[in-house]
Amino acid sequence: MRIPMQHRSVCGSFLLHGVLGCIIVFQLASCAQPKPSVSFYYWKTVFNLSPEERAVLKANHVKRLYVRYFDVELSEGKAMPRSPVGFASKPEGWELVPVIYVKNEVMLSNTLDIADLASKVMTLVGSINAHEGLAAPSEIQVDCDWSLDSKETYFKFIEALRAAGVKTISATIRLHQVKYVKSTGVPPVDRAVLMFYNMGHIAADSSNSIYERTTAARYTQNLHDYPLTLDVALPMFSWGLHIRGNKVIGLLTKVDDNVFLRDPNFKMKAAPFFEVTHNVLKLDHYFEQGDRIKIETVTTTDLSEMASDLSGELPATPGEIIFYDLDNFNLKHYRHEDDFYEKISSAF
Amino acid sequence: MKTTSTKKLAALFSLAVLGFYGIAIACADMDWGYDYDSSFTPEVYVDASYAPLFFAPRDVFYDIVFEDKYTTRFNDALVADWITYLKGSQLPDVQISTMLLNDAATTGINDAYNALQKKQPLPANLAALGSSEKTKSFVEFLYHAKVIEAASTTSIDSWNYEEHKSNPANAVTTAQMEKLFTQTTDPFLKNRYWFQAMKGYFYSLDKQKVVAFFEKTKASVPRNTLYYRGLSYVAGAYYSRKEYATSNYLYSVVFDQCPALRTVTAYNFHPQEQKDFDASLALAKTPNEKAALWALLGYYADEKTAIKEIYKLNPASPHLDFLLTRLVNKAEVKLNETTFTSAADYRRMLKERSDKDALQLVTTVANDGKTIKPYLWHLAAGYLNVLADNHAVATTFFDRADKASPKTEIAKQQLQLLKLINTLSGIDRLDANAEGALLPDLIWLYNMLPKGQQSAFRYHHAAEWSKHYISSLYQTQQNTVMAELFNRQEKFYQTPANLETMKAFLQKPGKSAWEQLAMGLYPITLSDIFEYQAVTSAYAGKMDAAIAFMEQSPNGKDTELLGNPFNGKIKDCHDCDHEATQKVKYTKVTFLKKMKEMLTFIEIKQDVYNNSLLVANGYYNMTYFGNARVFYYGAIMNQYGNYIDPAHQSQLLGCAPARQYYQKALDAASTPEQKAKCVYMLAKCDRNDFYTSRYHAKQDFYGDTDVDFKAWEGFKKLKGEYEGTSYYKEVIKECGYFRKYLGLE
Repeated sequence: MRIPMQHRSVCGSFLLHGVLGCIIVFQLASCAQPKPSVSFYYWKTVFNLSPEERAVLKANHVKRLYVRYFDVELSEGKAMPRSPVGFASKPEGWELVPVIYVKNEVMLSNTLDIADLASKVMTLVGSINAHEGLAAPSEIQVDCDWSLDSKETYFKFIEALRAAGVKTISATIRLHQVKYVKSTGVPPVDRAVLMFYNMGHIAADSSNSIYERTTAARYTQNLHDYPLTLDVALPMFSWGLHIRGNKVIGLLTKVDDNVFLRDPNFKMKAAPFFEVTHNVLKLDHYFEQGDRIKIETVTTTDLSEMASDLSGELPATPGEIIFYDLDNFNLKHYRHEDDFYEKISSAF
Repeated sequence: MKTTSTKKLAALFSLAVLGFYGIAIACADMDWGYDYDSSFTPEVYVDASYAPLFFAPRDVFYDIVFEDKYTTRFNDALVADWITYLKGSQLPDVQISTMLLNDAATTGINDAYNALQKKQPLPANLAALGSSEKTKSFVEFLYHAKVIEAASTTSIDSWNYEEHKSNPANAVTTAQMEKLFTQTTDPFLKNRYWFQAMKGYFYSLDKQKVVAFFEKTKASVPRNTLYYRGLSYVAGAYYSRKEYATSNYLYSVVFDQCPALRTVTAYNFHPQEQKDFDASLALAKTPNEKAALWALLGYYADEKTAIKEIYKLNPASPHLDFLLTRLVNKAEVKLNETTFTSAADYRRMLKERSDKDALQLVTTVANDGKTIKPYLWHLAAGYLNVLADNHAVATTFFDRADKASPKTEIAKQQLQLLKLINTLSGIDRLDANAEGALLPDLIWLYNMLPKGQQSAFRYHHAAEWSKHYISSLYQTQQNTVMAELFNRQEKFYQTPANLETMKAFLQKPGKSAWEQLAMGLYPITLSDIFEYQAVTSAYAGKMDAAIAFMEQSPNGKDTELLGNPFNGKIKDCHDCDHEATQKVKYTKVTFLKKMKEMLTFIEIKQDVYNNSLLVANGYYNMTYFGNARVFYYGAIMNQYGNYIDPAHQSQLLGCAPARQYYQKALDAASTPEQKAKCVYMLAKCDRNDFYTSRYHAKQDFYGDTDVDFKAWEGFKKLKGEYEGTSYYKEVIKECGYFRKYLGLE
């Protein structure tokens, strides 16, 4: 991490000039357009890095990992944590940023005690870290698809997290929240991460709900004016949609063309579809003759295109590109270059 | 003892992971009853242990929605078993139950156990335990079982991280359970210690130990509920090591032999790949074991194949029944969700979309007569033939079902309903004969059955479908009145001829029973029609006609308007007008009469300014923007919200009549104050027209408007010509738009 070290040395030499001097120099240094660093989301319930995952982190000089710690949802009307992460291996060598996914239903609940929830979230994060012998996190990321009706509560929740002692808070921002920023508001966070995926509808037609350039273009023109510093989260996953008639009846996580190409019960049709030729059980699903599978994926070209399109629209070079999500299955689609993720982030 | 809910946890976890993607695959499912699109009630003939497995496209399980009895399912049986065992002891039944089921009893049990171990007297509050060997055994059993239980239940609703971690069973206690199982000679206790050992091994750090213990002991264990609960643990252990073939096979054995565990086994049955299921079949030793596997596959994936295979293995298998109901429910839902415009259209749809394979299969099995409930198959074959437009065949099946059907009320109702659907859907043209044949059953369906979901019996879809079907027949026969009576169309009264025909029909004396039935279904009354005519006449400025019509609307004429309809305030504040004291409270008819009175004064040039201003206010308040929206509220127009149907926009959103009389008032005004007021009121009309064209008239308008304004002509005049009036100052005080126009804010 060459760039941050430069920051530190410049700040260090101005130490006597106090904090203000540091900030000014930091901003000057920023003008040199440092390349964004690479990070990943880790979104499984048990933290256990495979050798391949470790290799990718090393090759791309990853220092931070965004780990989903737990979800918060309503249970019998009360906000409750779901599937808190367990650690099967020690997360040594990376700074972990806990990510808390909060279902919007929690923020819409009219019996929610915001301060209490913030305190519980912080206590649980603390317990998880204590259990693993990890230091208190310097940053927490909140992931919530807030709506007009929940905006006020959500923003208060972020303030309450700050009051509960979180130094840096970041939040995910969906594209519609950038486009309609006037009505959706800006969360009171230190940093925002633009989720540049899941931009379309889950549908039985040939569209790609994860990413489509034309859909993206409808939103990116509003990025210039977004009032927060934006880092970017890019997709690196694929999935399949199970379609019967014209209805999507199931989601097949972690599948790609290869899963169906060699199976005689499936016939490849015009991309992105496969058709079921015989009734068959597969992937813990039942496929009926005539059903279709739509594979939605993100290619290396797509990722380059996203980097190029976004860098023309973002008000500043992002500090970090976070890929969703770190997983052997996802990694195999981008295996041609060890430092692929660094190359994508360098294109910003 | 409680069992655990690990599978439930797993399901919730996977949902949580999906949450990140923000996906909504199931589209806007509403909480409709099961008879929203079904007329075939599975409860009629099928054993209750299968009920949660009935077809429920929007739920995990039929009726219960989720499996929620993991920790309570066996409580009653458990208590009953121990009460029987402890018969003759001094322990009251209530205390037995409390000690078994209540976690708070643990401390007392531990105290009693310790006292017994040390051969000390029991604490006073446990004196009832006495000194019988059986009660001592009970205490000893509970002492250990409570320890095992702590490992088998976890709460997912906790902010305590430790409570989310797995809490393996105490290995020493589990070993003690095995030892007690081996040593105990009392068969009741031996069986229970066996189960506790199974449970302890399943919830230990190494789940697989349960398999070894089971294999070692299974031959000596009676095949009772505890055995099958234990076998479920073994199935779970195989599942956790990804041996799906064995896991699913064992679940199917439990499904077959232990009705109480049918939902649990159905939920856990998950062949990942075709080869898993094929291998499970190879493990099944008997035709009935194979049939149980097919039954679960039928639930999980494919009822039709399952029925075919089970039928080959054992035509008398009890699993066939619930699969048949699923097959029929799926087949009918596919057809019942489709709309149609005519009987021919409906038939075409049936021919194209009905499931021919299902029809052939069910017809064949029904004709064979080898199942244990032939009447269910006759009924189903009859109904599938109805849905394939084979009405004569359907009739023969229904006749056969009728002869053998159980004589329950719900069975009788089901048959009557399906026969009615068959008769009606076979009719191409309605005449007196057809109407007479249908009348008794339709009276039953529409008027005698309770409204709303009262029981399992599904008849609401049939009620709605039959009205629609009858209406479509009348439409084809160009009988607009009858078509409308059976199926109300929003636009019907927008055609004047329809209105008159319907009025004539409703006023006609001596209606037939059929006509009375139809009229009883119709939500519109003669009073509604007169009221509608009155209101539309008023908007057209025909006050005499409006009054005459309104007088004939007993339900409409005396409806009170909420505010004074002649108010003309600077700011339109409906609530303020509604709350204000009103010396005269106007009704729809008195309002019209007052309008007429003032219009007459204008005509004879008497106090033209004041009368014109008040008439204009009246017209203004009759619109959506005014304080008397109640005036246009009515069953026919049906405009109660912020979105006004295009057919009524010119009346309800238009300001033309008000504008005409504000202009008349302006022309007759004699003072600058009067003129200022008229000019401002005309600006309000400009504003309303602007909002109408910008928001309300747009198709995608959803009832909310941004605050917006323009430099209305009236504003310009007010500023240019009447700046000196006190009305001008009042407008500045009250009207924010005007202040903005003036640049004051």
